[in-house]
Amino acid sequence: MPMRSPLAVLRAALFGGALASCGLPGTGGEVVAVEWSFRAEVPDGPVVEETLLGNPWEVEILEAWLILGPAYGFSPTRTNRPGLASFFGPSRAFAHAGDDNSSGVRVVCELLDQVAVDLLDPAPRSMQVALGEADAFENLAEAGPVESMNIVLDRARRELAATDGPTGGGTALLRAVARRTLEGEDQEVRFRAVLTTETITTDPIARRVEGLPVSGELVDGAVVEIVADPRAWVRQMTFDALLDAPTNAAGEVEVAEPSQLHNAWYLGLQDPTGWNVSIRAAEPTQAP
Amino acid sequence: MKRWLMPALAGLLASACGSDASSTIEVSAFALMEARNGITAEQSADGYSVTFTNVIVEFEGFYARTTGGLDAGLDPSPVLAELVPSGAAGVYVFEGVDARRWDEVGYASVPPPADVQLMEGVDPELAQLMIDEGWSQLIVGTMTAPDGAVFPFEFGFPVAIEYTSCRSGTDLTFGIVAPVNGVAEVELTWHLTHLFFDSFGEDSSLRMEPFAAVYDGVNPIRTDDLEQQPLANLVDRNGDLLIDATGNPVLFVPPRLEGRPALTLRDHMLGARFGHFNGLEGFCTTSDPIIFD
Repeated sequence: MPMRSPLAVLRAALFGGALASCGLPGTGGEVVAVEWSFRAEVPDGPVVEETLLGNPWEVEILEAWLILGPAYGFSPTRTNRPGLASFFGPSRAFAHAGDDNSSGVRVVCELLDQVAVDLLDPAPRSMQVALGEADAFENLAEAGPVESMNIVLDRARRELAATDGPTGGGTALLRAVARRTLEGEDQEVRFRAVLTTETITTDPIARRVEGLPVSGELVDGAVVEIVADPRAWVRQMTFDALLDAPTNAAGEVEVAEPSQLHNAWYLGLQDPTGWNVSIRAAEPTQAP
Repeated sequence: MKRWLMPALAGLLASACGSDASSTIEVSAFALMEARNGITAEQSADGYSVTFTNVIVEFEGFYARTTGGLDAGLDPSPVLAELVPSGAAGVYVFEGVDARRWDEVGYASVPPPADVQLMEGVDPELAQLMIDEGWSQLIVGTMTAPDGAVFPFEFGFPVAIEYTSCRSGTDLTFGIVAPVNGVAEVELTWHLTHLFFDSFGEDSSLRMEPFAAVYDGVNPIRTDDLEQQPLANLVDRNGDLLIDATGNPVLFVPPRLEGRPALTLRDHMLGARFGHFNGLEGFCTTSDPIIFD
């Protein structure tokens, strides 16, 4: 057998290492392939009968889009790993005692791409459908239980960042009409707003929706499903300041600058009752 | 192989696997310079300053374990520690602890039981108030606005929270080292600025105006008064939408709570975690605070 030069061995090792790292979850453990799915759930229709602050409004949501991704699923808090295993086990991120609920846990599944989801459409949308079969890479995860998930309210990327895109180039888009009768006077505000990082916070930690509980276990072929309800977005909004605001050609107030509406929207997105994350096993294939 | 080599190696291995040598763990709580000097106007985004007259914290459940499954078997009873005016208080001394690295260390702060032990400087009346009200922490002080207006506050925390997997702010390693025939000094660093942070991410600011805005002019501002301030619609002392220096509505980014969203400034404050570990660069994993309404 001919001797290989040290350089050739090094090249081969580097190539092998790079190849081995491709597509692996990077967290150790048994690797399984999972699918991500997204769905809206608006029981009884997209109407909030009473907002929470001041003289309440009834709000009918006309359009609600959200950019989903990235999202990270975490294993149950700290697994004891004896002795030497701790040197080779997964790393863990630690941060400020007050600002990082993700301390002490590790990522076992992650959605790194972004998908625009119509939150008035109850039909489930898979990653493959959302991105197209050719663009959707196989999602690998680490087998086992998932305790919680973080969803990042991130900047829209690539074509999703276009101002004529589904979210108007932002993280989320909302069109709605708010109505109320106050002291015998009927009041109505139609508005369109885009949520961007500039209208809330550019801090990546603060833009996380943290610790959403997850039911289910990651197994080969499992479907990780994120369900969102946009009604949580509007419950803390007030519209008094928009009553006499100028409207666009569609008769809607365009809320573009940072506002109470944006802060309320952000806080609504943080509301865990507006989300449902579950993992279900793959459907058994039917015999022909 | 030399005949003496194997026994020597075996001896070395045995000694590396543990130690019967005795050690002491001393646990103290520190509230740093804020406990002594307060928070200056320059530290805050809205020009308010703060002084503290009492910071009483309940500690219990201090443990030292290894991720390999050993437990130091500490048996800490609940204590109340007063961190003002000195900024420091002794909490526990554990003697006869096995000397080794304990890499899984933590503690809890929960509403005190009736027989809670009062450490030096704790006012018995305030301690009884904490027991009766179910407060794991009591922070008393005053805020002073840029115009000189003074706002007294008494914030009780009906909160239970656990700090686990603590990492040292000194050497960034997990847990503590209990030295052979020596003392491991553990500092539970209580960071009072967290009371007024508008978020716990980067670029966060200290803001007191929304707290001052609920003052009735007579009684100290209490925890439940903060329910008047919805996080989605914070107002200033004039009742107008609270605006930051850039002209935008102030957003307080709430910490996560157990099972429900944070809706008001009360939720925001009660969800704050105060504990660092062995310095401000030391962190623990925290449970979601449980708030007893």
